[in-house]
Order: sequence, then structure tokens, then C-alpha cells
Amino acid sequence: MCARNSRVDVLKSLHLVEPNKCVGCRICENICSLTKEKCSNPKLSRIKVVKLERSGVDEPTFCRQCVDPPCAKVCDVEAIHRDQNEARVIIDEDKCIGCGKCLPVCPFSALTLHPDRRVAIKCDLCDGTPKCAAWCPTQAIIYAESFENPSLKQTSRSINSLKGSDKGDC
Amino acid sequence: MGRRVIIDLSREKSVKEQLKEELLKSYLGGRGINVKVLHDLVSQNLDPLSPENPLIFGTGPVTGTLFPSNGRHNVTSKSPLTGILGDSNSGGFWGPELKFAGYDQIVLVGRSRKPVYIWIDDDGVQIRDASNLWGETTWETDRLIKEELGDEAIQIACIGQGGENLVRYAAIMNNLARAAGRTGMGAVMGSKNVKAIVVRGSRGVGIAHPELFEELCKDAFEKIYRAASYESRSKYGTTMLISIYNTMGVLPTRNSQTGVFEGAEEISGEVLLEKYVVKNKACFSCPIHCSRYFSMKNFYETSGEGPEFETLCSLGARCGNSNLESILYANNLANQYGIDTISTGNVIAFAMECYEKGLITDSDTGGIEFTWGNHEAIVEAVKKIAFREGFGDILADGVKRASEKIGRGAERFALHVKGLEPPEQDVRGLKAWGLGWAVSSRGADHLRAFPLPETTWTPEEVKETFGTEKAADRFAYLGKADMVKHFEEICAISDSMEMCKITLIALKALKPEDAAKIIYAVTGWEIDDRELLRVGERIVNLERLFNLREGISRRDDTLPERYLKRPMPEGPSKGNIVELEPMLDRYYELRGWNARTGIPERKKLEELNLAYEVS
Repeated sequence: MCARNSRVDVLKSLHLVEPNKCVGCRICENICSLTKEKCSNPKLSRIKVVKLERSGVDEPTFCRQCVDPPCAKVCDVEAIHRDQNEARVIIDEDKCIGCGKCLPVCPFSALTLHPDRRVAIKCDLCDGTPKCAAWCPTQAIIYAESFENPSLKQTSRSINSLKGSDKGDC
Repeated sequence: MGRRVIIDLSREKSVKEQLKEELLKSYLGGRGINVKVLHDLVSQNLDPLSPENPLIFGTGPVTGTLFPSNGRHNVTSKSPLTGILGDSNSGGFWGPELKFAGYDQIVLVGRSRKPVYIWIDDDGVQIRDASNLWGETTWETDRLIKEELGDEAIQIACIGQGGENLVRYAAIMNNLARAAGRTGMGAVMGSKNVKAIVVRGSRGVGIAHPELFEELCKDAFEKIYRAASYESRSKYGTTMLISIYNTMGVLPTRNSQTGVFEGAEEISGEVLLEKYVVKNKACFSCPIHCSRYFSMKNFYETSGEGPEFETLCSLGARCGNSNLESILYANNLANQYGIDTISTGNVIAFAMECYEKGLITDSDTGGIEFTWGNHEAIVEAVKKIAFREGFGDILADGVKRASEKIGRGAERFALHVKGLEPPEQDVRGLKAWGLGWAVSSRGADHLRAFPLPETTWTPEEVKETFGTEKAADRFAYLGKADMVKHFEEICAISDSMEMCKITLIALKALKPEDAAKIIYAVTGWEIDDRELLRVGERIVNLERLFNLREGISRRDDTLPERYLKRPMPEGPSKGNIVELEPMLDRYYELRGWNARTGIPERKKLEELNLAYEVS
């Protein structure tokens, strides 16, 4: 996934604008897998919509291109690094051995193991033109200038609190 | 692509087989390939609740892809409500997941000795114990199975108490609020002792021509966004129809005694949005996102997805009920018990009219006062029906059987075509819809023909397609048979591609040409719009053959007396009835069906390669 001649905008990143804007259509997953894998398979998408049906929550999860990425820290073969100039985290597929150590440390569950290639995969911002944001029908996810450090903890807290309410009957 | 799994519940065995390309090209998928299996497997007069009746689930050729609103699935069986074709189509996310697991179709046959659920995980097909789930609501079933399998993202189609108790219009629910609701498919599932079909797929859907595919998708999305009604559809969804139909005088009120409802504003989509809607919700890969999540905390306290227009009307205006919160609550109950809200609203409205006319009293109803607008009675009736308790046991069999049991002329108030309770239009003010109900292959139904051009196309547009400007006049008869025939074909294509008719028909955004191109881009089949329409016609005709074998003929292609003989008493459709016979004559002529018997002529069957089906 290491792109050369990259056109990634230094200041831009993907953001979830507001959870209630996401309608849960999963178009982002579809366009992502089509772009990256030339097929339609949400399991191979780099962006995933977490759906908590009882409480009506739909929340896209994706790599936040952390400044100090925990996935890179645990990688034994140094296959993951943050490109400071491009403001994104890159997985070098040639180095990755598919051990999966990076998966559980990501606070956003943004990494997956590719079932065939056996390497870790995640969002690379489509080299500066993320398709998910372009295709999102409600602009729930946007590609825009970074607000300092993405408010990571806040988002995962909101998911956890919603999980707690995903119960109950009429 | 193109695999089916046949699961024999009696023998606890399953077998997978490739679907022949010729079959897929002839019937596309979903509704089409399902009725083919049904026609092949079901012998005449088979009891719909016997183990031999197959229960069939199908997806379409582009299901699971980016193409807008493709994520539906079709459930088919012989209907325990009508005794003819049983068929229901649902949105949500279940169909795409089945496709991701590598299947176009599931065929359930036999009957399990004990309650089970089916767990399809890619190639793995297991029949698992469901004794702990039996007796639970669909929502609780959904939660418990996700907990048991440890995965929140699996997709579950299941029945509630309605299906277990063989309510003849029980639904199969998925994603909590999505229903294969019509014609009692949930009762067939209950009769097989199957609580749920759970799927997880990681295989994805291959795309034959990815670049062309993306280009076509982009074009389709742009057409949808440009459509004139996109904004209102994406904001209100179908609920906007309460106000529109009331203004036209076709909003079924008090069991369709009239077409205007004094409480329409209180149950309108506008009020629902303003007071209770939290956010919009979408089906798989749909940019229209016409569904809504609501929440309320008053006399009735609940939250959930929906309801659609049909439910707002069936549990609202049809029952003279202007209490919106009770409708939201009863809708959630119906979803949890797994019963069809259209038939449910109809049987309650039928009981209310019988009560009004003195045919039933409190001693018959077990003390429930079936007075118009009594919302607590409606909520109570929903529970009684699902559990077949007391008077609910009679109502659980649908209006036709209930009226036969009550007798004393109750048949006059039992609105149905071929045993299926009608949807929410008063067809006296919508003539094409009247014809559509009468000839629909699953009984009274608006989605078999969905003749929207009658009210949404310009005179110029209808003239070009149906030969007369009159086709755009909802009180006129000219051109309506032509419209119904053509749109029955389009609906059959839509239901077999498992596309949503809001996209393919209501928005006027996509045409059969677009559908043909996308099938090529995904599957590589060379197919054009003319061939697609022929497939649609073939499906309509095969369904007709199935129904003919069960004893249906021209005399069944009719409407309840209320629409044929009692003029609309008031409002903008005042004075109207449906003069059906001339439309029917023209319809048979266009279809190539015998005018007296309603049987397709040999020539027509040969033209559609269906002649061998009747040999």
C-alpha cells in the first residue's frame, strides 16, 4: 500500500462529522472494497460501519492516521510507519508478515488481515482522494483539514456508551 | 456466483449446487428463481403448512454490490393465508450477507422435529438448537443469537411469536424492523420449526467489469441525487403519502368506508419527523435512506426504526386512529412478534366495522371494545393476534377466514383479493391501482404493478409510453391496462434483481436500460432492456401458471364489492367506483391470456419458453 508520487494533502484527514449523520448504508465499505480489491466485499473494506441496531447507531470506523500510532509501536518487523510529511500511517506490505499483532492495539479497530494475501490492511486515504468521503450520501465522513489531534477517545467513548444502551424491549 | 443450498430439515442434511446460467438468465434471481423452484416442487392442493411446502429465499444478480438499493431479498412459498403464491420482499442487510457467503438461494424443505436455527457461515451450514429461542420476540432472538455466536455484524432473518403460533400473515423479520411481511411466510417458517436463518459471508461478490461498473454506479447515484423527489424521499420516505393521499381522497379510513381522514395531519410523516425522528436510516448501499429511527417517552415509550406509510395508515386511518404514538408502539410490537402490519391493520379495522355494525359484541371479543380510534384496543389486538389468544385466534387467520367464522354477512366488510388484505390506497380514486390489485399474483397488492405513472408522470410522458394522455388521469380508464402490464414486468425485474422500487420506479431515476447495463458489468451476461422485459413477462406468466394450478381463474381477478359498487361517499374522489371489467378485458388481451378463463394462450407460453411448464 506504499504509494509513490503521493498526492496526499499534508493537512487533510478523514473525519466523522457526527454519528447521527451516518445512515448506515455501507456505501463507504462498498466503494472502498471496489477501489482496493476490484470486487464487492465489505470484509475487505478499510472502513467499516459499526451498527448497533437496537439503538439505531451507525458509526463508521477507520484509521485516524494517529500522530503516534500504536500499531507501528507493536510491529516487530517495522512494517508500519507514519509518514510525517503526508500525515498518514503507511503499511509496507513487503515487510508485513501478517502476524496480526497490530489489530487489537488499534483503538478504532481500523486494521484487518487480508484473508488471501495475509497482510494487515487499512485506510491509506486513497492517496489523497478518499473515495468513501466522496461517495458518502450524507457527508457523515469528510476529508478535511485536521482538527489538532483527532478526538479519538471521545469517539470510542461514545461507541461504548451506546453499546450499553443497545438493549431492552418495547 | 450462482449457488444454492437446499436444506432438508427432516433429514438434517444440506446440499449445495451450482445454479445453471440459463436459469439465472431466464429468471434473474430472487422472485424469479424462487417461483421457478416453487412451481417445480409444489404439487396441486398441497397444504401450505405441511413439511413438503418449500420455503425459498433468493437474492439477485447485483445484490451485495455498490449499485444503489440492490440489497433486497425475496421469500417465496405457498401461502398459508391465500393458498396461492406466497411471496414477500424485504430490504435491509440480510440479502447481501447471504450473497457474500456465496449463495443466490436457500431452499428449506421438510420439518425439524425440534426448534432450530440455521447458521450459514460461508461454506459452513449448520442446523443448531433453538429451544432457548422459541417463544422469544424477533428482537430478543436477534440479540441472543449475536451473543451466542459472538458477532454483532452477522445478519439474521427470524420469526417471532406470530410465526411460531402460525398466524397466517406472520412475517420473517431482519434488522429488527425489516419485514418479508406479506402472505404469511413467517407461518411457513414456524411450521418448519425454524426460528432463524443466520448468515455471515466473507467471499464477496465478484465484478466482471470493475471500471465500467464504477462508472455506471456513479451515473446511477447522480441520477438519483438529481431526481425531483429525492429530497422528500430521503427526508420523509413513504410517510409523506399520508398527507398526499388524504388530499387526493384515497386514504383508506375506517376500513375504507371513506378516503378522507379527519386525523390525517396528526399521523402524518411531517408530524412524525418533527416530534419523534432521531435520524435517517438506510438499507444496504442505498443513498435514499428513506427509513427513520424514532424515539418517544410518553404514554407509550419505545424506540425503533420505521414505520412506513402503509403501517401509519393500516394501524392509523384504517382503524380511525389518530394517535401517532400508539401506531409507533403497535408497529414495534408487530415487528417484535413478527406479524405483517398491513394485514394486522386490516383485520383490526374489519373487527371494528363488525363491532360498529353490531355483528360482534364484547362477549365475542373478550371485552375488547373495537370502536374506531380506540388505540388501546389496537395495541391489545396486536398482542392477542400474535399469541392467538381469545378473539385474536380468529383474527390471526386473516379477514377472509374470520368473516366466514363470524358469518351474518361479515363477508361484506372483509376486504381482500384472493385472500390477501389490501394495502393502503383507496382504488376508487386510483383506477390503475385497482386493476393492479385485481390481477396481482399474490392477491391484493400495490407492489406487483406499482402503477405510479398514473399520478406522477406528465400527460406527455404517459402518452409516449401508453398511447394516451388519459393514462395520467387517475379517474380515467384508458391506458391503465397497458400501464399495469408494463409495470408488472418492471416490478418483476425489480423484485428479481432485488432492487428497490423506490429507486427503479418512484424516483424515475433509473430505467430498464440501466438495469441491463449493470447486470452486464457485474455478471458479464449480454442482456438488453428488451430481454429484461421479456424475463419480467416470463415471471408474471409463471406465477399465473402456479396460481391457475391452485384453481385461480378470471373470476378471482376482482375487487371487494366496496370498491366495485359503493361510490366513494365524500372528498376529492367522491362518487367514484372502479369499473373493472373493461380494464380486465384489455389487460388479458395485452397479456395474451384467454379473455374468458384468464389462462395464458399456448402461443404466449411458447414465446416465453414456458410451454414445457404446462406439458
